[in-house]
Amino acid sequence: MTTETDLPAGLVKAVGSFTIYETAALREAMVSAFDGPEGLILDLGGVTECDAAGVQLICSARLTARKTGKTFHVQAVSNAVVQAMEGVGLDPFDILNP
Amino acid sequence: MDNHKMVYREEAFELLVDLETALLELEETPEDEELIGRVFRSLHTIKGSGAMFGYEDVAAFTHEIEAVYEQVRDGRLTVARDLVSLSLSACDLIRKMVAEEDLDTTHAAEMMGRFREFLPEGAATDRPGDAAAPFTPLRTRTYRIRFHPHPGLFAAGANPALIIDEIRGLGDCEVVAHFQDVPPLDELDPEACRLSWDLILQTDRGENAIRDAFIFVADTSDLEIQAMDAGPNPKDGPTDFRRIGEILLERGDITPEALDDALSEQARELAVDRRAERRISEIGVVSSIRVPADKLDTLVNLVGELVTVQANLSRKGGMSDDPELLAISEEVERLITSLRENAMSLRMLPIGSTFQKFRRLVRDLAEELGKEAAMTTSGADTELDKTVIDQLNDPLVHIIRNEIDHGIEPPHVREALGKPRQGTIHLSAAHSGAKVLIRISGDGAGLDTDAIRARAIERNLIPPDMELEEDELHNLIFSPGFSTAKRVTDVSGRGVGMDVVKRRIEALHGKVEIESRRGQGAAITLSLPLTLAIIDGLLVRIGTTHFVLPLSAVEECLELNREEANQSRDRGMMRYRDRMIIYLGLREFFGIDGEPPAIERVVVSDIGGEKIGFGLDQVIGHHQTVIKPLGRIYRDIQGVSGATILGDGSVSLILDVHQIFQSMEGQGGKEDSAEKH
Repeated sequence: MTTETDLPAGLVKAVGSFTIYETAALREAMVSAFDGPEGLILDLGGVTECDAAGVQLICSARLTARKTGKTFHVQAVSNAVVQAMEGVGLDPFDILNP
Repeated sequence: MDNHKMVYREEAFELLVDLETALLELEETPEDEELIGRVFRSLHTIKGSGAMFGYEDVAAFTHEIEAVYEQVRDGRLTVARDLVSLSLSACDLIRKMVAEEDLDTTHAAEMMGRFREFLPEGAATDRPGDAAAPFTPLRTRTYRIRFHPHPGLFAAGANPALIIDEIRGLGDCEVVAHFQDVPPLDELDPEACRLSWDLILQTDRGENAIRDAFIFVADTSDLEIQAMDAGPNPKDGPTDFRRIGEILLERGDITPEALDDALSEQARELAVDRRAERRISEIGVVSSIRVPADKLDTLVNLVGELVTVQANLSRKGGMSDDPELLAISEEVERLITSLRENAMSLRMLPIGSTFQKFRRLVRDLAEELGKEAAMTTSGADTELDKTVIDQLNDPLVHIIRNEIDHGIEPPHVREALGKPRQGTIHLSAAHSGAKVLIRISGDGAGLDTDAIRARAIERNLIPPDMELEEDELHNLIFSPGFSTAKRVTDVSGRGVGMDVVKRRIEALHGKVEIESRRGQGAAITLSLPLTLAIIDGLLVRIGTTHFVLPLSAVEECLELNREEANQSRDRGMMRYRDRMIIYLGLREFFGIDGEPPAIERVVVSDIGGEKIGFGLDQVIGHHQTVIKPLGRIYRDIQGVSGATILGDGSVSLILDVHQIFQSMEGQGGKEDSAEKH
């Protein structure tokens, strides 16, 4: 997995695996983005593998935005992420859109 | 090999032992639902994990057996002896598959065919991964499944998506995922699972099929399954409330979260209980961990090093006038003694699992020989060092084989003698001081002393006119090459068994004793040290070199003057009490230079009933010996089984008196090859 961040803009871009093995590093990046003024812009277009831990992290980001009143915007999403959400019984539309 | 595969292998071998035990018990009580469940769960786990770790052949083969036991579990098939026999053979095959040995695929296919014969006409099984097809569909019912994983679910490697997918495969399924317990990012432990699920499933596959899907997460989640059209579950509080809640949910009037909150409110008291249960189960999860044996060996070796350093420190402390140093050295000694006891206890295993393996052996051998025999055990939780347990397997196999082959009479003979048709082999284990006594007793015919005597004379083991006590006659069965079997059978081998048993047990610094009552049965007692990592030794010296002789091999210490010693050296024999015994000068054996002392010491050992005197310079005394293995280069050195480090830091070799004796007699190669037959 690679993570590209542009923290002033609040952008976190995940490429490759987005599983329990990567969630700790991604959480750090997301927390840093929320610390900024803009909130978090998440780019999941390059994710090739996603599991329930990855889905949980996205849910947590959604809840963080709701709690802090900051922006959470998913600018791209791959099929792997959508399938992972559907796999655990979540509607991707509900999670990815405010 | 990859670590995960190795863990799977170890677990699969353990599961197979458990499966065999359950099958053998099931043969006795075929209606026992708990046993049926145990068999099914073992098969399901072997299959599921097999597929997960790339053992497709294991998964496919086990799936066929599982389908048959699904019939048993659902009450459509009764367990009979033929199914148990076939299942036990299947265990052997699975074991080979897991060990990745070469397989006879025709045999495997034939066995699968025989399992299919137990299935109803026209029934077929799906490939593993899918659940087995229903042969007689059950009534379609609606189930509500509440799946609340523990936080450790992800870390345990479980993937809830796969479980949900398996449930979806059982019928019409609606999944409601709850993420209200997921905290914001700054509070989230990303590896802890905070998601939970409610699933509404319509299926004709029954509750067991649903539970099977959760079999791998049973320890890391709370699961409630309730048939919606069944009676009310008192745990869920008033029935009407539950129904209204679900109606509202279906109509979309309330969100699943709101329903869950309301139900939680109702079940608040129960939630407390549940949390307590969860805590207990979490404690259970972490109460044992799997550690590779070589790591424990390293730990014990390091503790051994510490013991040596501590001995050195105590020596220095004792010599010094510094009371502070002495106090420190005593404290270190106390701690290290405690550490050593703890480290040794880590390698201790209950002997029960070894005993269980023999149930199968008893059953198969008895069947092969047309006899009836059952095995009973006691003291299965007696603990022994893993190394001892590992090396105990072959001797026990030999003893049990001999007891069934020569001891237990055929059923009609037993009946004629007024005994039960079925013979009993009893394995027991018990602690006795620093020893463990393992006793193998059978209610068979006992030893035939006349036959033993005749055989011993025929084999020139004793002169024809020699008078022997009964126990001396019994002990003749441990002589090399002795066999009273009138015919050579595959079971008892070719008469190499019992002498090999004795040698093996003696190599473990143990002893073998036999008791027998003609017509009533025989018992063999193995007396073994608790551990092989530390032994009681006798420290001796030749020139400037120190050696340790295992105390278990020492019978007596004697002195020889120069003249007697020279005579003994020349003849290779020495006088011991009123007879001549073999003499071996260890100075010559190890090629140590220098003159022997005027008074030479001799340590007399008993090796398989043969006395041998080892000549040396000085007997220093008792020594608690921490055994250090020899390096690869020294492994093949004759007469030495290991090394130990003395208090002053010097190295001392531990003598293997059996090997020295063998190399003297030139029997080493011969006996080794006989043992392999």
